[in-house]
Amino acid sequence: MISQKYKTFYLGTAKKQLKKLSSLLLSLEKNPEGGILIENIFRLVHSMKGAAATMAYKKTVTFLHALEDVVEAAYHKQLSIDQSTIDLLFKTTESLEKNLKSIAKSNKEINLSKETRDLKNCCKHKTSKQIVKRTKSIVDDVHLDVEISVAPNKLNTLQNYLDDLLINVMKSKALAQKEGDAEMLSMAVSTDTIVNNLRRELERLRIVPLSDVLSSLPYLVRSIAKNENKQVELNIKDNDLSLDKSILDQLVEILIQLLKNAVAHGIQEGQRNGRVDLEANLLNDQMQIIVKDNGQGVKWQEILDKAIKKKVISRAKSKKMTLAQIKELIFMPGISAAKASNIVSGRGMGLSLVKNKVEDLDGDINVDSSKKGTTFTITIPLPLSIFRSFNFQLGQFNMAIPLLYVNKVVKLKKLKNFYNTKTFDYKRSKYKVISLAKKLDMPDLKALAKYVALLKYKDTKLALPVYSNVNDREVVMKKSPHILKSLDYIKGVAVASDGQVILILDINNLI
Amino acid sequence: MASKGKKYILFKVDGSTWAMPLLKDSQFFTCTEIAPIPAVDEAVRGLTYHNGKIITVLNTAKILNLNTEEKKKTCLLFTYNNDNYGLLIDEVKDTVKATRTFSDTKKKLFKKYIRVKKNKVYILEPVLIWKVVKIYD
Repeated sequence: MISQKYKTFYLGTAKKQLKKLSSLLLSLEKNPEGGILIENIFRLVHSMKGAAATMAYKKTVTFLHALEDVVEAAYHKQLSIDQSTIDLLFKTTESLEKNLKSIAKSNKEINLSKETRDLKNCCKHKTSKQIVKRTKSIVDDVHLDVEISVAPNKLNTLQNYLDDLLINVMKSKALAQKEGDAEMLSMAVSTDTIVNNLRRELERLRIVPLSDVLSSLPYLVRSIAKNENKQVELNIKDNDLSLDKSILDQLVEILIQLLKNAVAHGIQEGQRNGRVDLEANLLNDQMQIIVKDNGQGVKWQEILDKAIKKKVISRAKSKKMTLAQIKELIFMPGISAAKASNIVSGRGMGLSLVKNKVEDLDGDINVDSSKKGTTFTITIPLPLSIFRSFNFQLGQFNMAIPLLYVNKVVKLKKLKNFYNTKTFDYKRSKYKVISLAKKLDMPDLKALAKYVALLKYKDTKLALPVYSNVNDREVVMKKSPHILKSLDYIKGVAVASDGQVILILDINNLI
Repeated sequence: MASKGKKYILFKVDGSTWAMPLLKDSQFFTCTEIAPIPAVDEAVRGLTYHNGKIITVLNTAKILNLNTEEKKKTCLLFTYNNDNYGLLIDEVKDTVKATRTFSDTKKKLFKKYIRVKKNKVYILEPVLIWKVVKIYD
């Protein structure tokens, strides 16, 4: 059946269109006279109607036709865009969302007759004259954007095959070098370039602009604020950043929870200038996302009292806690800043889930709060893909760090014990020693350091004692398995040309 | 408890036959090299690479509390929570279909079994592995 075959595609497109509609309606609320905006809304609704008609969703078509009438009446100035019209239009997006969910779940449309009637009544009551024949100028210009939706798991499979191919190419390059076969080497290098380009293109397919996903958030904030009887404005500054779609999907869940909290608990009732800022920045190899509200701030004493009441900590312990430790309490299950729970938030689970989700992304979350508001700062590492690494053995473990951090490798004149050494002097410079052997509790290695790798990381000079022979290789970063999550000093896992699995160290957590 | 025609993969570890429910991604492969991981459960042998995927290799003998020296190279691949795991095994056997599973109340873990040619073959359910291997605490 054609309809069934294309249902997934229809749903994917319709969800995007709905997001776009919400975003356009938000702009229209700010600028009700925006003729171009209304025209764009009309085009969008027309496209949505066309897609629903292709799928034979009759109720949806009738509903969207009524919506089209309202928008067209507004376009011809036969209907004024006041707050009640805007509210009605926003209500249509809610109905359409419910409808899409129902179609996704059971392939059945919901009953939209009341909503359709409301739209028709709006036209009847508010327009000065009945809507006449559709104006050609709008309809004729309507065009449909053609997009292809690909499930992320299909991209993952493709990427896995490509990684295998890439590793084989690396292998043939190394073999050609070893054999001294210039022709074969040239061919391997050229194939390597092609496969690398292919991989980068594939990665690019997975990368989506933050704005694509964040654009639906102002509508969400508006809707929560309305339920809470508050006025809150959401300002988004995405700095034109993009991110892997799978990370972004998880990130948006985190942001939704933080925004719910900010509106429900941060912004006070009756506060006139309620404002939430969402900003994304790039810091070295990390993305930083800040969610900041200008609300009442977190009352840390209340959090502390609740933690004592819930027996998360003892009263005696609470007296010795630093502010940083108290701040950590807010991320524990059952501790919430809200006095009463409601449908939006306040059950004390939100922030603990947020922290778990951030940690799933190998990220970190911090909170700062004063009487002027609360700021949550999330940092998540950006995935590395193909890079040259500095490789060594630590006992039986294959380890590496990205070569870009290594300034120099010093061969020691004699084996040196670094187990309890804090600094290493080299050419009048002092380097802070990273004692991996100590971190991993491997005292047997303490007298065997052969080399010292001098690193520069975030303006810090570091010395990494190495206990084995070293080399640099091109590696392909892979998805980190769950088993590595508990090891904070390991950033992830990579594969070399011979298929060897290498643990990539997280320098940030080793300092 | 009855389960209609469920498929199981049979394999041998230390002379005894075990079954694992046939999952979408179930397959056998040969581990070429296993990279150890520091500070993990002793039943985790390390990581290996196969068909573009990183696989966490588990020592099946340790999971089943068998004291055999582990020299195995064949892995039974399965996925759990979007992660890939490989169970080190001695020998690949058949895939069978069982209409019923039984429970051995005398056993503490991996109680369920199927009957294959009148023999009891205990089932190694992935979800029960994490009761022995502490990965998902």
